[in-house]
Amino acid sequence: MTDPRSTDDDGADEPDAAGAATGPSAGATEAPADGAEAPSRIDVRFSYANERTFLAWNRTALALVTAGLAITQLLPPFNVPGGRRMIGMPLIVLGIVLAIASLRQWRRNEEAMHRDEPLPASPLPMILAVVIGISAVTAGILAAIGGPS
Amino acid sequence: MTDRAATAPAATPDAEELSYGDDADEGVASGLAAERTEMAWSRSGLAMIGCGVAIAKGLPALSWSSTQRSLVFPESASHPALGGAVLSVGVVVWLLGLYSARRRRHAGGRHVAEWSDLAPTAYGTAAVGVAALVLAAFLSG
Repeated sequence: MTDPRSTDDDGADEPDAAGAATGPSAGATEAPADGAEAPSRIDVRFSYANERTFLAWNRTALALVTAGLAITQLLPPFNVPGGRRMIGMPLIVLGIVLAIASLRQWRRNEEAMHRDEPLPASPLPMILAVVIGISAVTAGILAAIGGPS
Repeated sequence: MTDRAATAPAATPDAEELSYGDDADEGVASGLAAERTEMAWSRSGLAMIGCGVAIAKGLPALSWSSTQRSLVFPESASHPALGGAVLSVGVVVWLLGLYSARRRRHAGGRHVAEWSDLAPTAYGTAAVGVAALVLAAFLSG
C-alpha cells in the first residue's frame, strides 16, 4: 500500500501555516535532518487521537474474533445443526472486516486533517451495532428453541 | 492552529513570545497524547498475546452433563499452533507499535504515524480472524 502523506506533502498551498505549525525553532533543524518523515502540518494531538482510535477499533476487532471463536469452540452444541456457527461466524467475519476497515478509516481521517477538512463520517459504529444486534437476536432464538440438551 | 497561522507572519516580539508559550503548552499536551498512544499500543499487543495464550492453552468449555444434571467444565481442545501464531503476531505487533510510538515521541512529538506503522497491526488482526474463521468453519458444529 502507498503512503498517504507522500501525495500531499508538497505544502505549496500554505507555506506560512506550515512554518507556524512546526514552530519557529524546530522548523529549520528538523526538516533536513530526517527526510523519511517530514514534520507534520497538522496538530499532532489530533493525529495521536486518530491513531488511538484505530488501536481501539483493532482491539474491538480482536475481541470479536475471540468471542466468535469462543462461541464456536467452547459452547455446548445447540439442537439446531450449525447453531454455534450461526452466532459465532458473523462475529469473526465482522472482526476481520473491522480490522481492515479501521485502517482505511484512519487514513481517511488523516488525509482529511491534512487538508483541513471535516472528518469523514464513519459507518463502522453502525455496522458494529447492527451485526452484534443480529447475532444477539439469533442467539436468543437459538436459546429458546434449541437449547443444549 | 488557525490562530497561530494568523499571528505568525506578524513577527513582532510579542507575537513571537506568545507563539513560544503556545509551543510549550502544546509540547506538554502532545507529549501526554504521545504517552497515551504508547500505552494504547501496549494494550493492543497484550490483548493479542493474551488471546494467543488462551487459544494455545485451551479454555474450559461449558458443557451440560445430563447424568450429573449440572454444568461441567472439561478442557476444550487446545490449538497450540494457532495459539502460538497469534501470540507471535501479538509480540511483533507490540514491539513494532511500541518502537514506532517511542521513536515518534522522542522525536519531539512532531511526527505523525505512517501507514506502515499501523498496517502490520491491522493485517495481523485480520489474519488471526481468518484463522479463527477456518477453525470455526471446520472444527465445530
